[in-house]
Amino acid sequence: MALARLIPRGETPTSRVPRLEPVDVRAYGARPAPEIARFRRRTIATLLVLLFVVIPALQWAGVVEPYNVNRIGRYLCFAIAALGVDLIWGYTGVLTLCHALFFCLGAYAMGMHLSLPGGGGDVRPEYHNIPQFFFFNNVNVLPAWWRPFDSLPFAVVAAILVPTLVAGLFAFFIFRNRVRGVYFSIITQALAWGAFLAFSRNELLLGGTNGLTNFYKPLNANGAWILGFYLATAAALVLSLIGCRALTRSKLGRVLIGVRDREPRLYFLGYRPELYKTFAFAAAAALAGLGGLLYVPQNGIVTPNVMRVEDSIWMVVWVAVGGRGRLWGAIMGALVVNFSYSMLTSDMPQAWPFIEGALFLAVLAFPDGLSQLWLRLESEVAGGRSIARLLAAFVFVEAVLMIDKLGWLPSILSMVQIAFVPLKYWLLIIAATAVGWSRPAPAAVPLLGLAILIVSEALGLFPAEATPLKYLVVVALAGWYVARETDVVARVVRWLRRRRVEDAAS
Amino acid sequence: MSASVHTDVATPDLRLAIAPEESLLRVEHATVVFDGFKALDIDSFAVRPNEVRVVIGPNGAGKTTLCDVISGKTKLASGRCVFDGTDITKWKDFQIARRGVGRKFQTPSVFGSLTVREHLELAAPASRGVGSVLRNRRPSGRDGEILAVARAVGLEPLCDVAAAYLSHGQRQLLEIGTLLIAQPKLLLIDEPAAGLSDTETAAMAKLLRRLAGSHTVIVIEHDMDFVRQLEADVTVLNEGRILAEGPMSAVQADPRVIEAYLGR
Ligand SMILES: Nc1ncnc2c1ncn2[C@@H]1O[C@H](COP(=O)(O)OP(=O)(O)OP(=O)(O)O)[C@@H](O)[C@H]1O
Ligand SMILES: [Mg+2]
Repeated sequence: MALARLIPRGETPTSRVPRLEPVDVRAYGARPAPEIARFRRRTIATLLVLLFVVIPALQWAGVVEPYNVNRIGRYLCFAIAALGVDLIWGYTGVLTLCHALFFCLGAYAMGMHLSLPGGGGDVRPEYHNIPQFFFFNNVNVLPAWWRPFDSLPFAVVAAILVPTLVAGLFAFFIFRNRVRGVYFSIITQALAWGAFLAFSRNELLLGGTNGLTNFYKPLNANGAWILGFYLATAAALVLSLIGCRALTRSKLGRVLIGVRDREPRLYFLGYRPELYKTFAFAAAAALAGLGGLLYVPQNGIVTPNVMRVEDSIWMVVWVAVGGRGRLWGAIMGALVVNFSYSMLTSDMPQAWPFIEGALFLAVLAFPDGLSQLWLRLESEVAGGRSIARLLAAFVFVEAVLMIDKLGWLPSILSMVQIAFVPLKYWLLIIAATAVGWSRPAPAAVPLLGLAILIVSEALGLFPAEATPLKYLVVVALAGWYVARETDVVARVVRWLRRRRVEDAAS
Repeated sequence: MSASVHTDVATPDLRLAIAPEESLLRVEHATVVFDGFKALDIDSFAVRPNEVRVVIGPNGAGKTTLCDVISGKTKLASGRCVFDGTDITKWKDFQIARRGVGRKFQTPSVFGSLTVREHLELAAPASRGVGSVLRNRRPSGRDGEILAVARAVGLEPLCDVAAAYLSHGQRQLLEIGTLLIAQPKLLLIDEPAAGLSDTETAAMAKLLRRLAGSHTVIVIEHDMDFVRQLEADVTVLNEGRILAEGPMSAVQADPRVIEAYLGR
């Protein structure tokens, strides 16, 4: 990124700067250019308005269904957990494969509260007034360690503290022996696997493989409750982001990056990297616990299936897709991957394994992930390119979808069929094509295309009959982007011209 | 082999006599063994306070191993290491660093994504505990000091450049900078001139000479011109043993040193 800004357009960075060791390079100390800073401020303001004003307003107005707001709320919980992965993996360089376990510890703590009368749990006299699953364990009295979870404050504190302490102790004893790298990752994997097996047993009195459920029904059926949890999660995410930002910008953040770049060197500066890694691991677990705590009431169930190693790997993939070592990258990755997953599994479940494979390849090929694309967009905006036209197309697409959703679109637009496609979709296609044609920054094309898609999908604005349309638009935008990046059109033209010259010569 | 035994007998040992009381660092009867191979076998190596000492020797002589022993990276098989009146033989690397032993590695070892300024901030003497570092948001009080050190090593214009963008020579200078700002009692500098241009080498020699008198420095070097520029006492290592010790001119005339360098 720093290179992209230092070097004039048209020159590849590598042609002028000697290649150095392949480390994650960025000038942390350098301030962004004023235009970029302004663009960032505006983007942040827009996102905050979208999150806290527009989406609640749309639910209130009936454009967005509570189900979709609930889904956004759940994915925001994942984003909070992803911040933790970024802290320990992106900044500190320690690959953790048990993050989902800490998420689940938070989730179980909250699930226990919601199963008890204090949390509105469905307890009945015929089951001795305790959660029903105990019946199948032949337990008739609430175990003592369950009792304090009846209180909400206790459950909330436990949901964050338990994962933090478990992670802190675990990491301290492993790191103290200077266990590093892949060995540590394997041990975390073993921990996650062991915990999965333990939580699946009925003897643990946490519901076995069925997990904890039967919570107070309105939590994820009633609009007001849904909106409340959504807003609480959004606020928690913003606060977590602010906290992580302060952490990574402090001297401690610098030490964490030092651990990632060259851990052994720190000993000779008098630091004890293992303590810093322990701290980062525990902080990451706290964020996971917070995410899990907010996830349960919105999801309505928690089972050991969420703490499998696979789920932890997925959390790492989110961060990799978004771009490790950048907090907003982690959030972006968590949201993009989850909405894509939700969209693809509902539209064409058979395609998901292929997308999954492609994602892993993409992560390997583009270590900076989506954040790189965004940074390109920023530098292009700073270079004087206007994205106003792109935004206009973006807003147009969203507006048409919303009006359509409300049934306010003149029915003539749906009745006019051109080549078997209703006119209203033609309008969308034209608007989306305008995105590509408006001489925009090349990075902005796929990014805004993706943004249109994800936002519309998150808000549930695509009608079922428009499903092929969204994929067509994605493919078109991706093709446009690849064509511009690889300069393939110009190359073909040049090749054709040369052939004609050769033909004329012979 | 018999020839070398013969010269051992013929010439008296060329050694510096440094009393235990007047030494900042003493390494005594020290051996380091790697898989049965004795990489270091030193009867006595001592450095006075505020002295610059150069350690030279052919490749594989054990120079870096000596640094490793002093800084706690490698543990002694036998013998002991006394620094500033304390036996540090059993100490851990970070404890030795906190006690005041700073080190520059043979191949520059910097943090690629941290800037020059951030390197100096990390190395500045302060508490290195997690809690106090967390509270220490922007150590602005040190800005003047950091700039001064950056200027001293000639990296001031590059303060906000990530270390991954620095040239090899600049990384060497950055490592020296991190040493300077930490204000250690003893500086271990492993091959500072390796990979430097001629002007950079001269600047480095000047920098090290400036340190002399106020800092205790052990410099390891191959470049004989550079060593001469330092005008310091020299210890010659060969196959893990101290071969000779004294002023450069005397050491150069020592037949054993000549043989160790020419005999290979
Ligand atoms: N960790 C290790 N394991 C095994 N052998 C080692 C290890 N470190 C060093 N050695 C061996 O010990 C001997 C001394 O190595 P050392 O690095 O101290 O030499 P040096 O004098 O610094 O050489 P150079 O001038 O090449 O830097 C060499 O033969 C080396 O191969
Ligand atoms: Mg060496």
